[in-house]
Amino acid sequence: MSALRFQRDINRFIEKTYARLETLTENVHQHVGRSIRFGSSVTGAPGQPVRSGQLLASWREYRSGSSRGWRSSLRYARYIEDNLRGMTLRSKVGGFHSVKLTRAGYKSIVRHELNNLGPSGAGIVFDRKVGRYRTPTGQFTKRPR
Amino acid sequence: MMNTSEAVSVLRERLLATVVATTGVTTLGSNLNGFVRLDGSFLADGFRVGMEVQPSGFVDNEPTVIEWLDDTTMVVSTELTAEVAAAGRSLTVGIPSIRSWDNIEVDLVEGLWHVEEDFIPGPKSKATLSMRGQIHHQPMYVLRLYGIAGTGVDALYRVGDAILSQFAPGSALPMSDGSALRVSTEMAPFYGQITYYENQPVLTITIPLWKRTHNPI
Repeated sequence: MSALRFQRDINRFIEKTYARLETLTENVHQHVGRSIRFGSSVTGAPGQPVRSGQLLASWREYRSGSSRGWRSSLRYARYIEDNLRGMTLRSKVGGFHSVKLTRAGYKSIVRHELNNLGPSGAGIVFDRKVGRYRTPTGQFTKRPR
Repeated sequence: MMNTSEAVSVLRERLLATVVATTGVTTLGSNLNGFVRLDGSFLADGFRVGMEVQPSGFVDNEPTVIEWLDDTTMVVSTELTAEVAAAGRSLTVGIPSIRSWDNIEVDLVEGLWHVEEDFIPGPKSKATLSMRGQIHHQPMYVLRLYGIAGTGVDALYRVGDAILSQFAPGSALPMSDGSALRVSTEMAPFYGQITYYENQPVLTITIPLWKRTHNPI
């Protein structure tokens, strides 16, 4: 093997590793959003209660540089999160403390998404520029499961 | 599996052992407005305006709230019976006297603190590689402290700090099966910013926990 070819292989390996890291980061971010909004068996979070849908819709993702997260600007989102004054849940879905449970289960989310990124998801990467997943041949595809 | 009701009991027991400030058993007197002492200092003992204080050894031993204090005088929010200084009395700030435990209704009293709890059993996962293995439980204990409006942050944060010191990361709460419910180190207990519910300041304290049990397969 020539030094040039070895260098090329290493570069390709680095490129793939970064791409997979980006995919993992994006998948974890999406899982965090699902856990807060709809609940997750990985974190045990119940998700947001739904009556009018206003609270659920208020949860938006934000991205700034390499960081990303989820936030709600609705005043009563905090009351629901902390269950202030032992609120009565009038929704058939969701519950309280979803953000806390998601934060506490963050490592479990990363472990879960890392497992999902295994052989079946191999080669599928998240393209940040267009915000979609691509196959190794460059075609758009669904999020790997 | 985890004995959830016992877990809640041991958490409450640990919580109720919290002492924020105390005079210890000493010589104290009272007048219509509050309490007085000849020796020692209320401030040095950790008392602050807005805290709910529990008297002991007086004629009036109902909890009351500190409205003003210096080293030797403590003015409280309720009218007291005047008593000359005598030994064997104490003033203690601990967990508020009104406690809204899960699924138990309480009558709130305006002008007094109260505390609410939520025990969240949390997710479970199989933790070890053997066929049966162990179950890793990740419960969470959430407390909400409702303080007194207009008294600043000192009282709420000091009570919050005292509670957090009861649940230090990695500390164990022994259970009857010989195991322990442990305070998480991965995500240590914390409180958030003070929020307001109907103008009453609230401090939410989150205590993440974990416990391992045998898989009953």
